[in-house]
Amino acid sequence: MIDLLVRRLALGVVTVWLVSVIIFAGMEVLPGDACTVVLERDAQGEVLENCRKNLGLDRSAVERYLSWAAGAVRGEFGVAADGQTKISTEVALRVKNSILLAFGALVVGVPLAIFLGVVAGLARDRFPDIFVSTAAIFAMTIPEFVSATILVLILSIWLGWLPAVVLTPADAPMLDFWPEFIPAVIVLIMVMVAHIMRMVRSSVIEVMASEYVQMATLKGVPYWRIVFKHALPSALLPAINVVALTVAWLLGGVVVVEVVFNYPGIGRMMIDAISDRDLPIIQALVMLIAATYVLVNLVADLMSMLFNPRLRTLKMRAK
Amino acid sequence: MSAPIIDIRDLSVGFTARAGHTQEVLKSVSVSVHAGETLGIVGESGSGKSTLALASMGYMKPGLRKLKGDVTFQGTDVFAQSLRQLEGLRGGKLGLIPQSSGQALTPTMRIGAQIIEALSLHCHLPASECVSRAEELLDQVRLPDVPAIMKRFPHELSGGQQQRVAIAMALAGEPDALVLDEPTTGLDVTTQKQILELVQDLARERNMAMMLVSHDLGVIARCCHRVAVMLYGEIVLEGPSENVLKTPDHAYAQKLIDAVPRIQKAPATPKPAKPNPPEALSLEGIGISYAQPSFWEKTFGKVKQDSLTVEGINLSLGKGETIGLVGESGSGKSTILKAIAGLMPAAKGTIRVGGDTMLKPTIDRRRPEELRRVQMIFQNPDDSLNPRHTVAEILAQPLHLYFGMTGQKARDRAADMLETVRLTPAYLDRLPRQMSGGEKQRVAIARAFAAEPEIVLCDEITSALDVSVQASVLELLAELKLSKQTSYVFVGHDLAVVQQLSDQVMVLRHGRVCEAGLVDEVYANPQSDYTKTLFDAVLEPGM
Repeated sequence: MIDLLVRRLALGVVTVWLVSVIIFAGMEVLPGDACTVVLERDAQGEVLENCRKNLGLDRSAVERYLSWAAGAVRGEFGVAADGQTKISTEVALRVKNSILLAFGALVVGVPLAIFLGVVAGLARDRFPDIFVSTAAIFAMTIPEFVSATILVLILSIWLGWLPAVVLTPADAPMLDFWPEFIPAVIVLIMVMVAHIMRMVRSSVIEVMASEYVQMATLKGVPYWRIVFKHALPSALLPAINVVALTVAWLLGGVVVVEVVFNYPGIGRMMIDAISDRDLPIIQALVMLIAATYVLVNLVADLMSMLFNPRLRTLKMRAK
Repeated sequence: MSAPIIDIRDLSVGFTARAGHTQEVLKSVSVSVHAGETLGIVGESGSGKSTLALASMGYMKPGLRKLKGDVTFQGTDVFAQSLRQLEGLRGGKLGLIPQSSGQALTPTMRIGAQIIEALSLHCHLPASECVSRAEELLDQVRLPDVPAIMKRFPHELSGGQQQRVAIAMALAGEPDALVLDEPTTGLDVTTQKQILELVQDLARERNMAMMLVSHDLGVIARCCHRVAVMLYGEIVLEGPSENVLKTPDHAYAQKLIDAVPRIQKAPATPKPAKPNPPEALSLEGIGISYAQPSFWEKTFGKVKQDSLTVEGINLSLGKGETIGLVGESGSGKSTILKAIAGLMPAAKGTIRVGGDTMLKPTIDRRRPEELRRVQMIFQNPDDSLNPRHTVAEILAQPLHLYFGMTGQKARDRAADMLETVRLTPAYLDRLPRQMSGGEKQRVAIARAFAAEPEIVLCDEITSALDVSVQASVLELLAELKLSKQTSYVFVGHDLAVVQQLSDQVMVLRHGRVCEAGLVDEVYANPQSDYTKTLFDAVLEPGM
């Protein structure tokens, strides 16, 4: 178990390192650098050279990668292209806001998705299932910007209950986002619930048709006891990985939703940085998102191992 | 005579196939079982025998429904019971021992918890007594180290142990009757014998009525007082097992019984001694390891030699000869086949074909010509045939790969191959799901022979088939061997089948050779104790 954990962690570190190399190389290949972006039309001759010297851009690519990577390991990504904003401070602020959004969506969405998935799976092809499954397909296929716009139309314009966009600045305390962030959370919940629910539904159907559920029935176990004690512990295992993917998706910046609602999270920071051609920020964000994916998937794999006796004892015995 | 425990009268069960059209799975079936009596229900796949067994517990698979008739258990009509009453009955007075307990035990619950659940549902014991009663039950089914077993999960037990747990679970409700749905299918012969003995002892002690469903006539003959033979949802013959199994009064029953391969104690016709055929396959000192080399071992080329799963395998097989590999599950017999095929690299030793060509241990390092000479037929054609390929496409693959045939030429050749396995060219455009199990296995055989191999590896190729189908497949293999002078390495768990086809036999245990020699000699006069145990465990009808 420890052996496996160490190996997976090492693999994760290698993955993140590879991403860092690819990102850095990608930025190198792009024409221009921070100085040409900042100086714009003045970027020529001595001015450009001085700028490069000041920023250390005259060193070799390898040297620059090493110093950047050394900073990244400590959580320091230098300053943004404007030469003033400290990237780590700004990113930390945005991450906090993104976590708030993700947290809101997960706390409501995951239990709701599992509940709906179990109900639909147990009532396969009968009314609750048909209703829930159809709704899920709608929620999945309608693009987020459409559902977001419709939601704004209903909640903000017709009913006037909530503001249409978030006006709270990025550095405001978390509580200030209440209730402004609710529409964004609702849109996220619609998408994620559909995905998780469908997974749970098919897994419940499969397990309820299994031989051990039939055996439990023929052992005289009452229906609801079968569902909770015999079926769900196995049926919910696949949900762990889907939930993990959802968590990674939420934390990795939900660009469309943040842009539509003007929510100051990672997604919008990314879009802004891209349109400003602010390379240091883009690099920092991509690194952060990659690390999040690796970490969340690692946690998910460990959790499924913890909850699945088959995997758990297999690994132990292999040792 | 007292009233029967289970009484099934005129029962029909069916499902609605197409709009309004009802397909019957059971047609007016009547049987009954009395206390202390064991009724055997025998039939081939699709005969409705499992449906009948489950119906006696008031259960039907989703989609099926009762059309007419009654099932009574100790005088009460089970189909008239409320769900609540049925829950009390099932696992209580009427227990089930399922087909493969590996799948029938809940994977996420510990063994102890599953038995205690059955106890608390049916015996109303206080929680403190449940644990000791559960341990008692596990002890009663002769499981070793009961406290440790209680804490295990189902997948941590062997197949035989899982079956014992299922029996303990059925006993928890102090049943008056047991329904056994293929209770030993998938178990080794020796384990099968132990389980059947256990069940019979328990039945005698408790004077239980038992309904035993099996496709294996040997099992039925061993355990049952009366036998009912099923065919297409009907009972075609019923009576005391003596009569039914020895002098069946029905053509199908007779055919079924005749198809069961039996061990010939003294070979009726001694196989003609062949004048030393040229060598087709030889294995020298083969050792195989299941331990995956770790990342470091792979990188630095250090492979541990001490943990070999299979070791010391030597064999020499002549052209047109067959060697049978027998042994219990885990004895390494299939592993040896995989090593010859290159699917599982041999850690040491040499594999030679045709007397001269050395085969590399892994398949990706063998040349196409070398691959062609060794072909494999797998146990289950459902798994080995691509469900989305037609027969023509399946057969065209080896033809294209080894002989470069394409288009009409390959199709014509594929049609020829079908005829060799006694199927008509009409099968060319069928998909695997449009064929029966026996037909699919014939296609798999045709695919192997399409490569014109010198050696064909057969991995339990008849164990997924019904007896009557098995007989015709074995006949086909014998014919092909004669006409094409192919050598077989035949893995089987059925000693009679192995005898029928083989010239040599190798008995394996725990990855080591227990005994090897000519079939006639080993079968007539087994030397090792283990081989004798294997022979003792064989169940045959009419023994």
